[in-house]
Amino acid sequence: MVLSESVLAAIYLKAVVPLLEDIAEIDEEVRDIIKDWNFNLQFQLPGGLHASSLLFKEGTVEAWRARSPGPAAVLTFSNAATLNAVFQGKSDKSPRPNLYGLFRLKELLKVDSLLKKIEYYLEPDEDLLSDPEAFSNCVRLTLYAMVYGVKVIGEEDPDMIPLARNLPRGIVEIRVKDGPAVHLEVENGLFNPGKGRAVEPCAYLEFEDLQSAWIMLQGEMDQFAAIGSKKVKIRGLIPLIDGINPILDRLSLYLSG
Amino acid sequence: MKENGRKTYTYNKSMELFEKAATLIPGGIYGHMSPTAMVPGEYPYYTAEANGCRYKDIDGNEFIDYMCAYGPMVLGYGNPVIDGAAEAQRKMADTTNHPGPVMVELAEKLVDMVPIADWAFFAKNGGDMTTYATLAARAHTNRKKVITVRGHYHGVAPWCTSYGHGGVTAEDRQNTLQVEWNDLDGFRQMAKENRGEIAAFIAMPYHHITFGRQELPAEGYWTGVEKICREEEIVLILDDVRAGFRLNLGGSNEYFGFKPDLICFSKAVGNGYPISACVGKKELMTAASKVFFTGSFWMSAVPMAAALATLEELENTEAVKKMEKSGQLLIDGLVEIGQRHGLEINPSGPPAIPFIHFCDDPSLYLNQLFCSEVTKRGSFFHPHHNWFLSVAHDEIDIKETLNHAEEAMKAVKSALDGKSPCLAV
Ligand SMILES: Cc1ncc(COP(=O)(O)O)c(C=O)c1O
Repeated sequence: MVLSESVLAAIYLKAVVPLLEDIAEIDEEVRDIIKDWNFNLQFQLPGGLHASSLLFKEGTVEAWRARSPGPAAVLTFSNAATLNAVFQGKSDKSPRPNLYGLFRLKELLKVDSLLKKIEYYLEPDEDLLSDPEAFSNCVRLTLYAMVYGVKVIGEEDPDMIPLARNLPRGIVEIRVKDGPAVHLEVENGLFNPGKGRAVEPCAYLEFEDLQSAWIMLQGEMDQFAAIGSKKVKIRGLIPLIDGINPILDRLSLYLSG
Repeated sequence: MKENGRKTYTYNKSMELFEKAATLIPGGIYGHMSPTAMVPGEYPYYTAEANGCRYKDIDGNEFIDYMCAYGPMVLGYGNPVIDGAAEAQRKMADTTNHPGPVMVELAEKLVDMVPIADWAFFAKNGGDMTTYATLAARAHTNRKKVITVRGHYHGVAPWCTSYGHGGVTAEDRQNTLQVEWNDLDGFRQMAKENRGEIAAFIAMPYHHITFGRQELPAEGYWTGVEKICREEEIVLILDDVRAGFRLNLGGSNEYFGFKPDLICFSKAVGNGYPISACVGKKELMTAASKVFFTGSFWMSAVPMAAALATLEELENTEAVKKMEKSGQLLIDGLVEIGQRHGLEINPSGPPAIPFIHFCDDPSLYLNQLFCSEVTKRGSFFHPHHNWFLSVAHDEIDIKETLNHAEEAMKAVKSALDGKSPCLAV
């Protein structure tokens, strides 16, 4: 299976980097790093068509899955493969800053530690997982990455586009019982992900607990068995859930590289 | 839970065994019987015993069965006539170096019963026959492409399985084209655009897809399809695996008024004994003989003896008429219960193979709620797949089921209690 470097780069830009918005809310170290940052930071591939922006303001972060709405320190990776290698920790080739970015070099030197924080939550160590609140955050962030990743794959992966176009229309909610939730609106091959619960989902998939959600999100679950034994509950328009499954499998494939 | 002094069912033993199964078998129970296809946790998973139109699960719950093993059971579980014929054959021989003489008798019976049939070929599953039929059509026409109807199920071979299921590649599907059901113009257009390349058109006799409403053919649809197939020299294959022998003993095309070149049967043909059949017109017999297609158990004589007895018994019991009558009784009763409780039920499909949807319930939450509640009271209703009647269902069974449905409807109303169905299920 040949995976597309540009799809993977889009996953990093649109599903992974924006997690800093949520991480800043829960992580004091991140807030400490960014407390005096009042500027926009944009990651992009040449040309800026694939871009992701972080808008820092008084210790908060707002993520845009697009170019920055104002002037920004822009970090341009020479191509998708380089971006992916950097995010995978396989290369330390720095992206090229623009002129505005050169004036922010002091801050830009710390960007790496911000990005490391994403890894900290998406690939937590045992210590983090043993703290119930942190565990819940890891699951929540991974769910966010998942729905935004599904959007990238369903809309941009050439093998998955035809499948995505055939999905029934509707909103599917994915939630942990009494825990974090995400939802995904699907229509004509386009995906509109959202954080939190949906008002009236056409289908839902509910994990019995954080542990089941985590195992599934790590791709280590026999989903059919888990559903049969009620660790995962599905109701409503099942073909919508079924149809998204291959897209989720493809997402795991991209992220396991 | 207790209701009128009577307990509704629980499935603890099913769940327990499933936990173990999941450590030994991929998915625990896979395919169409996977719990994921029903309302997981709210249905039985394992059968203990079956008789007539009823079966018991391993928790000891008894169900009047409206799935009939997903179609194969048509004369009742443990039917003494069929089991007797099978047993008599078993005493002589079953799987040996050669077929038994019963194979010729069975072929002759099918050729007699099915007006378009000049020959018959046997295998085990419905999917064997749909694949075989498309191969025979290709061999006959020397063409590659096959047109199917979007959503129609023909088995699990990669040519007819949706891309996205594990292991299926885009290349597997490259000779399979799709049209929408009842879209005669679309079919005509596709046949024209691929003139000289289409080997076959394969479809179910009417649109009965899982999760969907059943749709009968529009006026003129099948005769239109037949005409285009003749003009374009496309082999017309009827996949009658599911509906076969419930609408007309000569093939469901006789019910809808058209003449295919090949018909695939399975399910009901052996009343549960593993056998499938493809019958065809004589023009296709030479090509059919050139397809190399076989299996270790395809010539086994016991299922053939059972099938022969089943076909005879279907004729002797006026099976089609009886199933239609009990199906109609069931559907009328359910519609009436829905009306009385202010939840409108829309039935679809022929009465012998009925299905229901609730009005304004496109996501099937109400189906999931209602069907699982009926099942918990003793009548097995699938929430997503068409149901099946059998000759073993009598009026008394249907009335008992309507009582289950009445109680289930009350349970649905109380679960809803003004809430949206997605919050109630
Ligand atoms: C219309 C139709 N065709 C083909 C098949 C495949 O039959 P089998 O599962 O016996 O291979 C089915 C099974 O449900 C069916 O309903």
